[in-house]
Amino acid sequence: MSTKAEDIPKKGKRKSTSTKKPIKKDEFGEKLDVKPVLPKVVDEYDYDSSDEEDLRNTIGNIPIKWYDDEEHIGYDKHGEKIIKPEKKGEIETFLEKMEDPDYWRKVFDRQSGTDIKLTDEQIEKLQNIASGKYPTIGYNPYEPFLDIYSSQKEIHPIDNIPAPKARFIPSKDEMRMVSKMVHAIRMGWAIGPKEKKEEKKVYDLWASEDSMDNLTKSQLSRMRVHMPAPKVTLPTHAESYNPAEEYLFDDDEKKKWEETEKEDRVMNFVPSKFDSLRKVPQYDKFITERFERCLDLYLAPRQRKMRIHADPTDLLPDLPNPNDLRPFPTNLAFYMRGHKGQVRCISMEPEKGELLASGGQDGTVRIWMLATGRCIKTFDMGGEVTSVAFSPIAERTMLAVAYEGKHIAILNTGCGDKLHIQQTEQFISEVPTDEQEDGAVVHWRKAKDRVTLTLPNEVRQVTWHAKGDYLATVAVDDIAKSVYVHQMSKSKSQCPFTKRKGHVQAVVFHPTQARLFVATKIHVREYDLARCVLIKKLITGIKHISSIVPDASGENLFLGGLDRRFAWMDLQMGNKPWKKLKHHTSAIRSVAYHKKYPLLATVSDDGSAMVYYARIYSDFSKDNELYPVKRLKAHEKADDLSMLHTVWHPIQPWLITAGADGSIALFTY
Amino acid sequence: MEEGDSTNERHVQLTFFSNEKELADIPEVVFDVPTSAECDDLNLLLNKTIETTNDTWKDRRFEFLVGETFLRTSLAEFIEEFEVETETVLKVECVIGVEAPKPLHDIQAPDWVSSVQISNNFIFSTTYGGDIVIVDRKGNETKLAVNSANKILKCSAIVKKPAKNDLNGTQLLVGSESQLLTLYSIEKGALTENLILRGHERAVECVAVSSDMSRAISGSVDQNIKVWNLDENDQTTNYEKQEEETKTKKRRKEAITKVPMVTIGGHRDKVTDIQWCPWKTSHAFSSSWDHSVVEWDLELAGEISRTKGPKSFTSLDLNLSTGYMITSCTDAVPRLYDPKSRDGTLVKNSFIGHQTGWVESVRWNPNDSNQFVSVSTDKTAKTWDIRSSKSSLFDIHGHEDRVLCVAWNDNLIASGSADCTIKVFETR
Repeated sequence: MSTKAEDIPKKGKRKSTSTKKPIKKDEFGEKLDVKPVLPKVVDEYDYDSSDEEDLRNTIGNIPIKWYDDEEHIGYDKHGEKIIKPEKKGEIETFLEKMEDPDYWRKVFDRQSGTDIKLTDEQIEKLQNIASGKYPTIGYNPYEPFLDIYSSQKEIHPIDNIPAPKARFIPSKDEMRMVSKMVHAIRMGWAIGPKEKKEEKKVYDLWASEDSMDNLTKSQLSRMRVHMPAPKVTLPTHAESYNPAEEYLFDDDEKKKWEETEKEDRVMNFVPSKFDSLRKVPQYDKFITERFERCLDLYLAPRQRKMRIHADPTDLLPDLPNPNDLRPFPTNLAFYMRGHKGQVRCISMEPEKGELLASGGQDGTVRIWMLATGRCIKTFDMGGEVTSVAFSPIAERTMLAVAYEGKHIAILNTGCGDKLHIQQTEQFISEVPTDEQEDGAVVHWRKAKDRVTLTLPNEVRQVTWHAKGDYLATVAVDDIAKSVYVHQMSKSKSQCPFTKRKGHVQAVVFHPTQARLFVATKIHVREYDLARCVLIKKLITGIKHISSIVPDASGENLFLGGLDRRFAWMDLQMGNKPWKKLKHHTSAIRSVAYHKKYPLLATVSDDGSAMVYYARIYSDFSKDNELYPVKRLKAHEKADDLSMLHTVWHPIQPWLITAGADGSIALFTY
Repeated sequence: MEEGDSTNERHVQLTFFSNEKELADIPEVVFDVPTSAECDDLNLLLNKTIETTNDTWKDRRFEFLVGETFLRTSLAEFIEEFEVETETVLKVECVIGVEAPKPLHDIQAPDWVSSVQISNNFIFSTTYGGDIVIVDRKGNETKLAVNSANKILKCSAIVKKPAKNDLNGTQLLVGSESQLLTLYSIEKGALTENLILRGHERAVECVAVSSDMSRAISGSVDQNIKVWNLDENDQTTNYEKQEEETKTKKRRKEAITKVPMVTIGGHRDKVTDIQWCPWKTSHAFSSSWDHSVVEWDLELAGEISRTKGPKSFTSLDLNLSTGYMITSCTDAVPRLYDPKSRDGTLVKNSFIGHQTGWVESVRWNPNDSNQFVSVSTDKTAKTWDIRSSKSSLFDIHGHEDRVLCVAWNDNLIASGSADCTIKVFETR
């Protein structure tokens, strides 16, 4: 019941307002609506013309709901209660609905509590609104447009007034002025227009002050992000000349204030009390405070600094996952032990990769079977071995050994294929050592299984040319004639360089051409041996080169230095290194590049070998790749030396390192 | 507090069963076992239960199989790892535990041991110093020196098995670094050269003799495999020496020199191990450093199938009963393959346990098709069951240097090492 009672009034209210609204608010409609009625006005005092529909109730614009529980619905203008009309019962309503033909046009008015019968006019308006038309009855929004003033020029005037006479008579006044001027010209009195005096231009120094054009970038940005100067804190009660008692210090507080450091004090003054403002002395800290304020302003930030918050790991180069760059040696398989003292140098048999030769401080050259780590042959050289090198030709079981006593021996190892051993024996026996010129510096001699060369100096390094006929040696001492090139088939030695160009550390033949790379302490020079000319001088950036290795094409050089630096020289990219790395904590002793796999290794005195994935692209559009993939550790330190030499297995991705502790380590994938 | 913990713990219901005759009377009782229980706890539980029914029972050690895998950790870890259904009663198979290999002999060899073979309770081993050391089960050793210039012996195979307690008449085929294979026969405590097989261009790495002892195959560093005819009556492959040569060596009693019947190339690196196919007489398997194991048809001299591995192989062994192939690589993990299946390239199992370095050799147990032994450069030998890949059955320590070779036969495990010893262990 209660819901119904609410429902009905709502409806009534909505309808009653909707009837009012168009009349009140739609002014345009009102005018047109009112106009036709106006002539009918008889006497305005005959009826109440005010808009207020039902003035009986004076409660104003409040929710009627508040009177729901009362027996009256409001007050009339005399203050008398307006009693709610009796509620109709359902039967009564139904009967009314049936009997009263005007029931449909009755609306319950909550304010008066009675049913109001809507007039025809009001119903029509409601119908208009419901059907989306203009609420005003009889209003035609599409009345024909009457264009009074148009853009078209009419030939007839709009009004019919004739033109005044003055328009047709010349002006006497003007005529008088013209005759005066004519007379003046005739008489020669007329003076032309006055010449304008040019005023002196004054430069306005401050003209550009207000314009934005001449402002600097920092000024503009300061204007854009304006940072106001820090404000002085306002004085508190304690700073008053006449503070309340509680602000004043007692003895303890004062003592405490005095004891604390100047910077740590909460207040930088002691509150003090004066009888009157007149007795306040001059402020003694005025100058210092002003000065400090100036300093504060001077140091205050005037600009918002944009700081980049970058994760340090983001700045590192994007390295590929080492697992994608496999295979590379990852763990130590075993040690080969046998040498006493340092193992100075090692060399792998070409192609098959079964045999390993090593030379040591103990004056022996040992041949090892790599698969089992078994030493199968030992040669006693009688001097500390400094360098060994297998002949690059697989058919010759030949090993070049440099050892102390200014000797080089080219041995027949006697290991490997029997047929090849015999061929090598034959080859060595055919070396024409007897046809030596008198006065030759290098003496060639032949023993039963070897050719021995005696040089004028101690030899540091021996290296073969890829064709296996030539070999080059480097002297230990810093002399002009330190590099010798020896030819096996003719048993001849020659010294290609007579001028000293620096202390030669290492030499290496170009893998395909008759060229020689000579590394002094800081430079590498490339010589053409056939024409005896310098081709290129490379600036390595290393302070003391220890090792030099070319790739298979001879376009790239890998250099290791005693100053811990490693450099990759791309000879086509100029004479500066393409990449420089410093991954070791101690001197790099040796560098090796794999013949089959894109692998590079450097060994150092710090007891570790760094393995790099180093891919060389012959395609110019692609950059070479160099990624460190593994640090291998082995060997014990002996006299601050650890790894002295390294080579790669010719077929497998295996690394072999020679240690100062007398062992040789094999690292396998 | 402890009681409170145990009540919170998960429990699993399990029953024991066994296929072994001795254990036919295991009571079919469902046990409620906390998941923290390990093998030892289950052992105790099972022994106690059997004791209740069988008065004569003595405590034994059991291994427990759940499905196909051995229980090696606690039940909880096992359940988590293999995602075992714990809603139903877990059926646990009991296998009587293998006894630990007993050290039997420790024989000092004159040099590094390169190969070892066991036949009829005799252990034959070759050394890098040119000696053949023969040990019988009792530990009596015979050292025979090879009378040859190059003494580095690398591999061996038994052609004629020794008679019981008698070495005389035994024939041994030995491959050496000198590119030759020599067939020695032992007579009256001395070696006599019967045949010299000539043809390899580099050191002979491995050799195997067929079951009817008429053929031998060998692999070498020169990447080739050669097939030899060992038949005494065969003359076709004899090597005709030039007259001058025969004159110079007239004094010595000549051994017949033979050339290979067939040479098979196909590997691209050193051949490390070779085995006859146990189920097909004309087939053979070879492993190589070129990351592959190849099955060859020797009659057609062609390749049948190639199993690619992740690393260079160092040895292989085939099992007749299961047809599985166990291999070792240049890393610490022996790998199990099934060469009979089409997807033979897939590793069936990897056995993780060796420290670093290489596994040098693997051999099956001829008496138990689930067990094999592996030796490694980490100075240990390990026995494995293929049903448990995470941990080995037993670790055999004792060698002081890299272990290079191993053999398992007649319930004996013999391992040879670079510390110049042969160690013999007895298994059950």
